[in-house]
Amino acid sequence: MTGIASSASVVHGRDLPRGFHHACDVVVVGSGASGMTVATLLAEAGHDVLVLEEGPYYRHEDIGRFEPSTSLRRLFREAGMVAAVGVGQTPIISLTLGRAVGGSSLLTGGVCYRIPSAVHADWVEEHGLDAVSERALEAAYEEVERRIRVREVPEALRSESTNRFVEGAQRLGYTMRSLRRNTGDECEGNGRCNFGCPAGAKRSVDVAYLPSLVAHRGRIVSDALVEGVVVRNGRACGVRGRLLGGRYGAPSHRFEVDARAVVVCSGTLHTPELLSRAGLRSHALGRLVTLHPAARVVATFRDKLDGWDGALQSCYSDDLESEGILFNGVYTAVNVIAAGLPGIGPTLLERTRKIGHLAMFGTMVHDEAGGHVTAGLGREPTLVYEMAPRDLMRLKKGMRVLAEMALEACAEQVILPIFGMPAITSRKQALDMERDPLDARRIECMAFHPLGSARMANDPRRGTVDESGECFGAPGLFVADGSILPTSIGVNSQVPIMAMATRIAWRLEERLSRARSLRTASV
Amino acid sequence: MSPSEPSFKDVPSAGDWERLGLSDSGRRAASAAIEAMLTDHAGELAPPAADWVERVVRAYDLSIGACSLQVRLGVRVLVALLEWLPLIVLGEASRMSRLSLERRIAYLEALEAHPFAPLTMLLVATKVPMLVPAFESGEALRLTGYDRETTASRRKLPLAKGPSP
Repeated sequence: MTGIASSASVVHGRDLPRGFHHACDVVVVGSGASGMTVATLLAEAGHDVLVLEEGPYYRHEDIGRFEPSTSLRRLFREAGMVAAVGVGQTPIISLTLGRAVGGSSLLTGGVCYRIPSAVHADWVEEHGLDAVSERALEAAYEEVERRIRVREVPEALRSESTNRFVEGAQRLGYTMRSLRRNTGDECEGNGRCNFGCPAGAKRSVDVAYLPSLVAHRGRIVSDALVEGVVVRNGRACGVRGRLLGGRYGAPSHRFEVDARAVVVCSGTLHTPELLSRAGLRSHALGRLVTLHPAARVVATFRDKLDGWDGALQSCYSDDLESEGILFNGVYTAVNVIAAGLPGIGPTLLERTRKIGHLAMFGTMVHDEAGGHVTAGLGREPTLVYEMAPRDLMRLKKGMRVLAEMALEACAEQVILPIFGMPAITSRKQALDMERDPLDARRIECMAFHPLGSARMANDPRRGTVDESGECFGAPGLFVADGSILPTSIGVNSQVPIMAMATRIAWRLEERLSRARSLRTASV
Repeated sequence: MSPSEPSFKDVPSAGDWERLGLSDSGRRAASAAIEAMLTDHAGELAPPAADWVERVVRAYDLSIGACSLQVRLGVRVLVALLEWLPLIVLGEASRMSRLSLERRIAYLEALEAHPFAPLTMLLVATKVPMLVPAFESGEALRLTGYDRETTASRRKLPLAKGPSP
């Protein structure tokens, strides 16, 4: 094997004629919110960085022109069909994960929260993690928010779909606030952020970080599946894997990368297996995964709302935060709404014709850690999730409150995300839904924030990585993705993950620079 | 970066081999299910245009082809179950694809509302990915009332009111 057979800064691994053996200062596995952040900051500090991304690379401009089914096929892992396996009274939870250069940051609605103060306090007081206190992360939050241009969504960009729920919420005494999003002042309210922004407003990491990474000589190889971490003398010193995406029957080229530091940013589902293959034997590895299970309540109104005109997500209410329930405004592409409507044939088409009359809003649960990631039968891991009874009650309460908001705003009927349940028209029916026993497997549930499979801890018995993100018992091997979050955070996780990754990158930069100085001095 | 090196801006998007994921029998079953799901009612049952169904089946097939081996196999099992379950759900010894359009709709509706939750989940797990491509362009998109040319078009912003003449 020789070096990478391309001089491009972003290399399509699928097009390489042969494998490669490459040496660099830092190899980063994964190019999502955390991987791209770490790689860019280290490249800006003068280190030689290579990013290996399993998924393909698509230009930002092209992504904005994809139809939703094309986005699903090209950018979403398993074309959007990843699901957690439910145990007992647990819904099947569909998971949204990215698999392309930019990772899941390409698929978000742009919502930016910081970790709530109470969660930070818990990490410090209960887990002894001073390095991730609110104060310790402040500079990292500011850095991330500056780069991705976090702004509050103006009221003028609220869709009529959102406005109806805001109206109902106000009548019931709930407070709705404007969300903060990473769209700067560019958002036009095209209402399809999660499939790519036609206006190019969303500052996903391929927009906010990638240009600086390549300007500082950092490189990315896409279609590069890392299968193992090379460990020599007990220290991680590189990775190996193979290139994907070639023509059927074409040989699968292999690659190996030598590096002074390996940073794994493969995400909560994929990081544990890689660490396990590196010989890590942490009791916490793969366990206590949290998901923020969520559900979407749809309401029909007499008048036409055209809910697609406006920001995809613009409002939230955290009035029930103390109960572990968050309400986030949401919408999605019309064809995806149509596909999810109940009914077959004429019934479905009748409902599809009335999509313009629909409003929707989401509820999300600050869940207990009920997930466990294990190696799957093939390349993909398996996530088993058991929903705590308390979380199921929270989910049902969230749905009930949203139904009440819609009815208070004069919705004709409310379609709850419960398969086989007729639409409801009264608050009593909503209350009945909450109180009555219900087979949880009938709830249409989704999750966007899997966290915590390689938790940060101050003791190897309680976690997988230390406060600098380095794996216990594996020097040189770092993790900087959502898997290191010690607990569920109850809010959208992109900014928290990027802030944690920023802090880890800063610390790693100090160490690498110190080591470089020592090497220079010794020469 | 030296001037001879291609810049980041010059790197094109990845190519697409357009791999398909369904078996021939799976494609037939998917086609029959999609036809039933998209059937309208205009006095009597009005089946969807053949080219519409064909386009949706191909898009579904492509999306399965983009998945890992596990998901491809899983989907094949789900589609096979969908094809063979009329015996359990309707008590009819027939594959779904051989049922009349009316019976196929009744069968899929019965699955969707079935008291045994896993059967409902089977229907939903196949229906949603099958139908995502159905309403995203052309006349089908118009059906939703969406007022933009395509699902990737930018919003038609309200025109500012100029001064009165």
